[in-house]
Amino acid sequence: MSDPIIEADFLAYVDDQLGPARRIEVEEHLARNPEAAARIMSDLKDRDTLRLIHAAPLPRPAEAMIGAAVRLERALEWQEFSLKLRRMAAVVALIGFGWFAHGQVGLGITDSEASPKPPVFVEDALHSHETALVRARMVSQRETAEYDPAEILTETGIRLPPLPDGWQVRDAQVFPSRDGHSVEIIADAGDLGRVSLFAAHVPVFNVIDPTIARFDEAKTVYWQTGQLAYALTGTSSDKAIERAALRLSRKLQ
Amino acid sequence: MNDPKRMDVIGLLSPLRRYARSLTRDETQAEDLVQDTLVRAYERHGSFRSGGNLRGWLLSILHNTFIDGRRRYMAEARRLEQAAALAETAAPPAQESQVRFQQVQAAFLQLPLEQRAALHLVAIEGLPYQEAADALGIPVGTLMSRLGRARATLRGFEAGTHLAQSSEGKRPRLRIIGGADV
Repeated sequence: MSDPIIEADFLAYVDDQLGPARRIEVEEHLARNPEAAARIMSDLKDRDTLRLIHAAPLPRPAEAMIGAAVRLERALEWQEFSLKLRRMAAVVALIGFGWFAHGQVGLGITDSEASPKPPVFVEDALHSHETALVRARMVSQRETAEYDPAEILTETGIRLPPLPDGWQVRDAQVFPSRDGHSVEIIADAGDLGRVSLFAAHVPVFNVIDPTIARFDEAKTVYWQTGQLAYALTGTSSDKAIERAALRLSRKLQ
Repeated sequence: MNDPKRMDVIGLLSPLRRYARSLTRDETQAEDLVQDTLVRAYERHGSFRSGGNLRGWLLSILHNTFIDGRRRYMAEARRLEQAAALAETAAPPAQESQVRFQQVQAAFLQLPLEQRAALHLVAIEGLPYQEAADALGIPVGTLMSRLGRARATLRGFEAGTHLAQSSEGKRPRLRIIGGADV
């Protein structure tokens, strides 16, 4: 037996806020109660009349209003964007750590001094000891040109794109990160010169299209698909790095 | 980027302006109110939660802006209300339905502010109860009781004789017969 129909049901019926099942129950009730039905019809009529009256298009807003709306829109968009940037800060910090680690093992892109050195990388450096265990299991050792995306995926859960023809892998490394592992591939990428492709697990699920971040001497284009964040770093022109990053990100889809 | 126009304030101007008109009952005041709302929203845009409901957030700021500056928005509104009433009598309605439109609109505008606000958000803008209640800063139960009272008043207005209005006697009023109601 269904719940008795109460005043709130009539109200919600008129306002179209009932699920189909409850609607039918109300309609059954109305079919047996002409008085209530007449009242509901009157309410529906009033509602529709009000909607119709207020549906008339408004005159174009004043320029000042449009200006104020645009200003607010931009402020809100910027806020959203900077939130994404903050989420990415963890990744950028890891990139910083990647450069630091390269410095330690005598690898990496040439301008490691120019990279930002966020204080968190010290903490990350401690984690790297734990990650050494994983590295020991892997075929691709330091200074190896072996690049086996399938193995990396099995070992770290990080999916990497197939690299374009003509890219020569110089090194593939697993590093620690806050939320699992991260992988860094160093490659000689033809016209792009030496680039590094960094991929890591990040805590916040998000989808971010390739976005460029410029540092002193290097540029990073980063993007995120779900829980995996990627960053392509190099020193060639913005456009060239962006194009390469876009190609890689598409291959991941 | 997968949702390119999430911060569509421009697209929300119409709902804001409509709501402002129902609150102030005056076009000029309504436009001022929306303008003030946009300025206030800009000042406190940091309070907008990421992924939150932009429409509800703006409607709520508009409502509060109106309440805070009510005396200012109302004082002039009263004067203009008379002008609007004049305009109404000046334009002869073409059809009976138009007469009825004007009656319903007049009854709606005469509702107490709280009921008018609730009815506007739910009936005209089609907001879900929860969203309307949030915009008004009241519990859903309170919203529903305001809606109930607003509807009863509109119904009563149609069923009863329109004392205040019919005294003008300029044109025949559409009278609804029946509708056994309070």
